[in-house]
Amino acid sequence: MAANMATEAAQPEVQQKIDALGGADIVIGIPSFNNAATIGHVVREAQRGLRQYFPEARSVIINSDGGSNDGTPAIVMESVADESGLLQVPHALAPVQKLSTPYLGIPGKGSAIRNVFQLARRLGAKACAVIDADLRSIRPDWVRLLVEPVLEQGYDFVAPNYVRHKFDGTITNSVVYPMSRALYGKRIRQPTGGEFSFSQTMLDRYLAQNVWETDVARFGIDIWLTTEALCSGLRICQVALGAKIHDPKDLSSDLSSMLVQVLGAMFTEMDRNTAVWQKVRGSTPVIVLGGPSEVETEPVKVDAGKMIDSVQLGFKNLFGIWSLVLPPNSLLELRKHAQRPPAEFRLADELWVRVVYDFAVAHHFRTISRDHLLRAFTPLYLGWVASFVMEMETADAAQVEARIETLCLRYEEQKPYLISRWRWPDRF
Amino acid sequence: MWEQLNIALQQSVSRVIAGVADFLPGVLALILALVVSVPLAWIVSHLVRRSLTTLHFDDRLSQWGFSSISEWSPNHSPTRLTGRVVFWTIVLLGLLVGLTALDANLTQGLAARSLAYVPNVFVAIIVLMVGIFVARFLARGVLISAVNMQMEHAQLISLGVKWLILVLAAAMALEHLGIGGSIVRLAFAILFGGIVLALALAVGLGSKDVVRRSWERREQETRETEQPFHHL
Repeated sequence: MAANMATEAAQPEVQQKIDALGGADIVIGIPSFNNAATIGHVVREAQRGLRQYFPEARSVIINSDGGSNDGTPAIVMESVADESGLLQVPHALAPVQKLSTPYLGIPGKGSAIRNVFQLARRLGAKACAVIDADLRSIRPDWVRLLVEPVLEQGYDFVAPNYVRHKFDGTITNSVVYPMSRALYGKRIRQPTGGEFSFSQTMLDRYLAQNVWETDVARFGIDIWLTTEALCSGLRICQVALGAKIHDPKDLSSDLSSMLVQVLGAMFTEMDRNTAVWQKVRGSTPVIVLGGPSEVETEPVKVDAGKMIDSVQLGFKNLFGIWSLVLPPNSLLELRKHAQRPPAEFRLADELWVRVVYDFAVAHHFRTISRDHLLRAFTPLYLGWVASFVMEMETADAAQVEARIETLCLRYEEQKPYLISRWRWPDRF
Repeated sequence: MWEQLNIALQQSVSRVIAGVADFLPGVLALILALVVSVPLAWIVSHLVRRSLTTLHFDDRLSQWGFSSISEWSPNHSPTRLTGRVVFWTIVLLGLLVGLTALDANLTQGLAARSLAYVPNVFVAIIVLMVGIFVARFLARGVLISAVNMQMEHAQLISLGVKWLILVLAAAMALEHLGIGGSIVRLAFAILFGGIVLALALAVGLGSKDVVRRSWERREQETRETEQPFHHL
């Protein structure tokens, strides 16, 4: 019989179903909201992976749905071969989540993940993996790659490592990866990956935190999961999953909203973990399990001209706002860059890193409204992207990765600047 | 008859002298009150200015987001503005004391009407301050959004939004103060109505082809410039 849930994870009926299931070794959590087009494929591939690689283990798939009106829960029910291994629970969406566009994936993912974690703990699961419902590139061996390190090798947190086009993930490449590496000392290549797995110890740590009703959980759950793991001191690893292909509709978010959500979550985590990151120096690699996969990527032509226009327009109109955040020498250097001919536009790494750190400091001290601050960052980010794509136009993937490594080292070198500005903001 | 004339004159002179004698102390009291209150006001306002300067009042107001008060203050200094307010308040109090000495009923009525007016002044100040804050906040938000949408006239749009809200706040404050009355309401209605009508005519009639071509061009640019990579 299907263990359909009509109430949230805390209800007595849910406990009865859990008792009927009698516990689980592996939990696969799939948050969803209006993912009728893709969730069937995700559920089927997840089930195949569990049957193929963990036939002896007791497995449960938990679908936490945010009130879909396109028949997503029904499609999940139709897609499972064995309904006894399925739990369906709703999660509530806050009104703001219905109005705003999430940067990636599922509205209310934080609430969904909390549901999954609570149920996984009640089931006594040894390993819990979370997979987005809008994935098109999931394969059965993703289940093995995500679950095996936790179940059999004792890791507490597993992050994904995708193969991506050299220009994909520019926010990750320009800020999220190098900054999280410099702050927390561990090199997780894709901190906002979306597909993770956890041990029971890690689940307990997450559930003990008091962030579930905040914007970090609503809009920045992926970054929070990764940051919390980096600060925990537990065993972490990465797994090579190949290419990640999403349902296109989820990738059309407004860029400045995306920056507000991603960087807002990251900078808020800096406030919570100040005592941790201020002590860290340098960084160490995090093991990548599974072999690298070669993925054919087509060459793309990127128009840097419009992005440079954006920087120049930003400089013309936002100078007053940027001067509240950036020190005079950074403003002067930015002005010089903006005045160069477009073909010669190259944003120096040292300048870029200082700009990002200055925005993090301004976010911490609430120099201006945080929403305005991060939206005002958009032209600067586009300037970096323009500079990067022009520099790396003819480079291959290995050269791009080497270039990003150079940027990461600049972030680590400039960390004392961040710490000084954080502790003594009036000195600048 | 000459005697009666003499008596009448003497009586009128003595009435005038009595009237002046009644009136003169009040006048002297008024002059004395002003003579005392003006130097006292100067001393107190000087002390207030020195205290505020020591506390870096002007800088703190700017940090708290009230830099527009600096723009309106004499010599762009809220400290100076506060000093002048204190000065004139004490002078006004001295004047009231003097007027009371002259005619107690006059000041009683004046004091009653002034006290009844104070809540209106208070509310008007609150409305203005909220209006200034909202205008700055929204103007900044509009500016940033317009720049991110790559609008060339972002500053103009932002300035327009700021002044629309400030005018609205000023009209509401004047309404509370009871100044201008229907003239202010009428002027405000004409201004806003005129702006809306102008926009409607520009978009609806005068510029429909231009707007249509602009939208088509913008849509085409959006399609052409949509980057073939993902930011996240």
